[in-house]
Amino acid sequence: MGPSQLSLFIAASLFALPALGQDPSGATITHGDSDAGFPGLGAGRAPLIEIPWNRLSPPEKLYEDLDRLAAQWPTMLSYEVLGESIGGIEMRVYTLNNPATGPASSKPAMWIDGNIHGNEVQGGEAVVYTAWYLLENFTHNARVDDLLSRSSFYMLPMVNPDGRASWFADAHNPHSSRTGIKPTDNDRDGLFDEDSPDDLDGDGQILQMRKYVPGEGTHNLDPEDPRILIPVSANDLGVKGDWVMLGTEGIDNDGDGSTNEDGVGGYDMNRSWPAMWMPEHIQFGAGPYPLFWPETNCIAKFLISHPNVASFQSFHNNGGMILRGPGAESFGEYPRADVRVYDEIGRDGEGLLPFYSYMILWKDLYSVYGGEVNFAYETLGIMSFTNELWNSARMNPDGRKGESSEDRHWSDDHLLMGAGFVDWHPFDHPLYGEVEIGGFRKDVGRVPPTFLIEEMLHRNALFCIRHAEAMPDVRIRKTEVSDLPGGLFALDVTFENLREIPTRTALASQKGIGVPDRLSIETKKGKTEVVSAGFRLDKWRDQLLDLVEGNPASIPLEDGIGSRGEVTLRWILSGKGSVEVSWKGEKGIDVSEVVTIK
Amino acid sequence: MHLLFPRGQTAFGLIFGSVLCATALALPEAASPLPLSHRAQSSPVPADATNLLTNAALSARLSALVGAHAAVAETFTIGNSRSGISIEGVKLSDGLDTLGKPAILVVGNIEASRVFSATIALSVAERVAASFQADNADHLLSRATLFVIPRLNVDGASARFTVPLFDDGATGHGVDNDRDGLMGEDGPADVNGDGQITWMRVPDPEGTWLPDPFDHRAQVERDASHGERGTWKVLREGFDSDGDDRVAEDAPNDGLVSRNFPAGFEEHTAAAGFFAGEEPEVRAMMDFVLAHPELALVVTFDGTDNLNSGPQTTDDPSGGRGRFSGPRTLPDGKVLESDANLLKEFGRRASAIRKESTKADAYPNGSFQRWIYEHRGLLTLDFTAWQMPTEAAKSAQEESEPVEDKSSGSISTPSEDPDVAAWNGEVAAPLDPPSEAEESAEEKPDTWREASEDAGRLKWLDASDEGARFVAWQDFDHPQLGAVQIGGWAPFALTEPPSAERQVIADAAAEFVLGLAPSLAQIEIASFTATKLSKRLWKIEAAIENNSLLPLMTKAGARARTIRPARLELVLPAKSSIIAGEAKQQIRELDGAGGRSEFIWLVDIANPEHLGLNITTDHAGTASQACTLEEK
Repeated sequence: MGPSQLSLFIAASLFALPALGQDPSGATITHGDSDAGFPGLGAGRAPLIEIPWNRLSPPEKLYEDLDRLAAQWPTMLSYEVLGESIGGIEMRVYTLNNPATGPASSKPAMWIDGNIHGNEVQGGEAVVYTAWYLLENFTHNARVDDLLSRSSFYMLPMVNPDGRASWFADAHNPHSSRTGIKPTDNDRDGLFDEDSPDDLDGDGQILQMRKYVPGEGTHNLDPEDPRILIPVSANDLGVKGDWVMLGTEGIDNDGDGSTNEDGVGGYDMNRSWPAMWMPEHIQFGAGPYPLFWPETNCIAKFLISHPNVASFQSFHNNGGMILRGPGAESFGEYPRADVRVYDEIGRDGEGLLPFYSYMILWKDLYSVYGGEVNFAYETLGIMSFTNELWNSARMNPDGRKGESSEDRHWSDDHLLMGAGFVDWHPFDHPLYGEVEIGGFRKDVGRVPPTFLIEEMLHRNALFCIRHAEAMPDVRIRKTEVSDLPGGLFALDVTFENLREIPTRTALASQKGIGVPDRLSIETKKGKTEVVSAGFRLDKWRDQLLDLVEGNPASIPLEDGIGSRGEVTLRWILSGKGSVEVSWKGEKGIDVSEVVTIK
Repeated sequence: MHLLFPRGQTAFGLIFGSVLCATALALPEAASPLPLSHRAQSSPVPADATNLLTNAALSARLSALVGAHAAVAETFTIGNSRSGISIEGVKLSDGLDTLGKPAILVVGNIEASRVFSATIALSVAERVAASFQADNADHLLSRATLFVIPRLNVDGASARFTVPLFDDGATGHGVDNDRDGLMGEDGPADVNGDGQITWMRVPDPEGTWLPDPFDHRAQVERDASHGERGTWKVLREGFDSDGDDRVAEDAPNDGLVSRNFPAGFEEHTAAAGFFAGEEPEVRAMMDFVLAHPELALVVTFDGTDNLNSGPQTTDDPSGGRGRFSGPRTLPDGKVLESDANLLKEFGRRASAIRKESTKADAYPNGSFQRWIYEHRGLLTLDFTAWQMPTEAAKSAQEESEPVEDKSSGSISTPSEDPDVAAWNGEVAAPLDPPSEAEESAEEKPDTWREASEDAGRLKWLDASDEGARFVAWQDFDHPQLGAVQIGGWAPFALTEPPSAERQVIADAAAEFVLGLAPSLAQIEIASFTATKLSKRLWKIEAAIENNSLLPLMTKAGARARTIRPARLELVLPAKSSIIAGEAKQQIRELDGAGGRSEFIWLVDIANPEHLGLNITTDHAGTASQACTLEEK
């Protein structure tokens, strides 16, 4: 008897790609020439929602922009409130999904967030841009349509909305407002947040202080540019400078002899996640226990309850990096199979993101215990990256100007007409006497100037899309029925994953994270019996089977289907009739197929 | 090797325990508690401390306590358990909540199976409340506030009062142990309907367990290098309810409150929970501790012990003046040397209430106790109230005398082994209790083995009247596995003190806690003087001391930077200015037992009047002193 498999069809409608050019309501959209230009070309269709992508905005404006998108694409974008920040701002996660191809939870999803450090504001815009770009191109671009047919996105623009709000509203420098705003007694004097830096000159910026101390200092003024202080070289002649730096603008508010030592908050929400979490004396900013702050707690709960998240992206702002874990050397290296996937996406990222380096946190940057990106991968088994969005060397991308003070002033003078620098001006300080206050503003150094913001956002959105496209896409490639002695049949089914990210990361399978994929066969009682099942070990010798223990009709697949991998299972059946074989997994759309054995 | 948990299951707190059941008490030398009789008179609360208390009964006892001692007692709740049961505590105070008044926290029944520990903790509260008299300056409550949370693991304790009885320590929200997408669909079950869930010996050629040659009621894991082959698989009593060929592998609840704290939390270990602090009981407990900086000492009655056997220690971090500057080594559950020495002293003082040594771990991974010490820097005194001894009381038999092995060979094969023969139906009578021949046997069996701990426990059991703690192995025709034996240790058998010992244990615990007051750090101004150096220049000197056993903060507290230093403030008359020194300073560390810190200021004082010195702490009292400037 020859092969008797006859019918083969795709049972799950979810699996079918949506017809190109249909919007979720089913109305057909014509693709005119005017549409073609949008994905990145300047002439052509204008976006439906205009958002000025050369601006950075406070929290309410980010939500407002996302709400405009939700109003334009009401079936595609919606939000839920996960909780509230310490300061009472809603923690909104926006779900972007094409409901015509199934609910968001039925598809592998990408999580994208930003701004966990309050001062790292442009991460918020990067999240909004990604949503906007996908929506604007939906039904206009085949790749976007394909992506949204088989995946969904959970987007949380601000992990730390309070820090963001303060960065816009209050006096800050580029590095402050990193923390959340829960009052914290950093100097352990029983008082909370009582000694912040102070905007002594009332200009809305926290700048630097310097003092003229002729013959007693450590620095001299650059004779070419007195805005710049040059350290005195080490010498054996007793030669000293005329100036000293006195640190960040501020006074000793609580009279304890230290300046600016107990500011607002004073912790780091990117050290509070339950992945190799360590207490404060090991990891500054970690808080008293993992997920102590409500912002992190509500996000962790969401992620844990959404096992379909297969990709994770977090946006930070300083350095130009595509970072992955481990956060600490003692974790050891990630499993080799996962590293290959990381490397592939990371290297593409370096192509998409000039100046960015694909790096390993502990090895190439510094050790991080309890990092969010570590939680995503090391605890939840999700491929995860952190991008550091900006690098001030980008002001002069060809390298002819660098990051020296001289070059930074040159760029500020010539590209921003000096807007980024507050020139030194005198101030009568209660402790130090006559000092000068000056320096670069908070929006220089860690965030790009207006004319470079859009480029940064676009390149990172496309990196997210590149990553999302790598999420598992499982198909049933082949089913084949053959005769076995004794009137039995063998049904060989090959399940494949077309994409780089495995349905279960190697780490997830090693650590037993989540639920294994499951290969199942449904038979009609009395017609077909499942006698046994085994994984095919050899393409040519079909008797080489790794027979499964337990129920042969429902087989857990702990390792999932690997990166662009396949698994062939042989079911040994008695009787005839239609059977339905299926793959189900947390991080892919379930697929099934009916096979008739004659 | 623990025969009770043959499949790698580790039920923390079931295996280990300590004994705390003597008749006499060692109190800190400085303590002078009231005589027992006096306290008993003033207490309308039932003195009976022998009961296991349901959550409702515990709650009622707490209410009764407050009703009887409203002046000193008030209840509080720290939150709700996963199942919504309120976690209650009682605060005992003389009503003077002065700044810096230290507090002691007593917690019981964190491990689910330590149900009686809640009674112990409650007894402590009852005894302390009943013994208080406002005019007794030496009483604990005159020095400190006492918070008692008798039962953190209220959900876990419920299992003690549920049929069938089962003691796997399970609470929490459930874990999908077998990771089939279903939670708790294949838990242990009372297969033989005797009202309790014990163990099954399943004959299997792949089995790794064989009878302990010293006592066939116990079993040991095979050692192939000695030519042993296994006889049984030993499984939890249950079925394969989900058809995956595994028995009782997915109990309804598995996350353990006692392993869900962040210190040493074991990631990706089902029983520990998915992440530290996931269990609401754990989070509530941590939040309570964080909200009470006045905590100076923690006492737990649970399944860990750091006083009997002593924890592992490591060197104090190096560094000067309370600031540790050494490399940041990751916390490893070891106790810093100075703190360990304090534990030794407390252990010495408590030695009379610890009859036998215990093997209970100190600071197990993910435990409340480890978190409190390692992350919060507070000393914990951890008592395991009881564990079944692993040898008979000395009066019974001096030496271990194993069962005679008539087979004369060292290899037990299924066909030769009497237990297996019994299971096969070849021998009709059950083997326990041990036959007279076994009892009187004088020759050690021909085996390389020592008697297992369980064989030792059985020996203790046989000499006691606690026989119900072991369920004789009985043949049973299991519907899925065929012929098996069901039996072994009854639930809670290894951890629950015998009724006769309970009152003694609870009394001893109360006495110990009552005697802790003199040990609490207390900041004192030993001297405060002013000396005139010139026309307006004064030298002001102060010495601050702590004469209690406990230092101002433990080494772990200094390392963790979680204990707030003492704050010192020099109050000067008007028109003064400091020439040298700072008016406000912090005292980070102050040793116990005469720890001393000295301060000097030079001050220009125009109008010599009074000087003041104020010292405040969160947990070691306050001190103020005035000093009159006298012209000499």
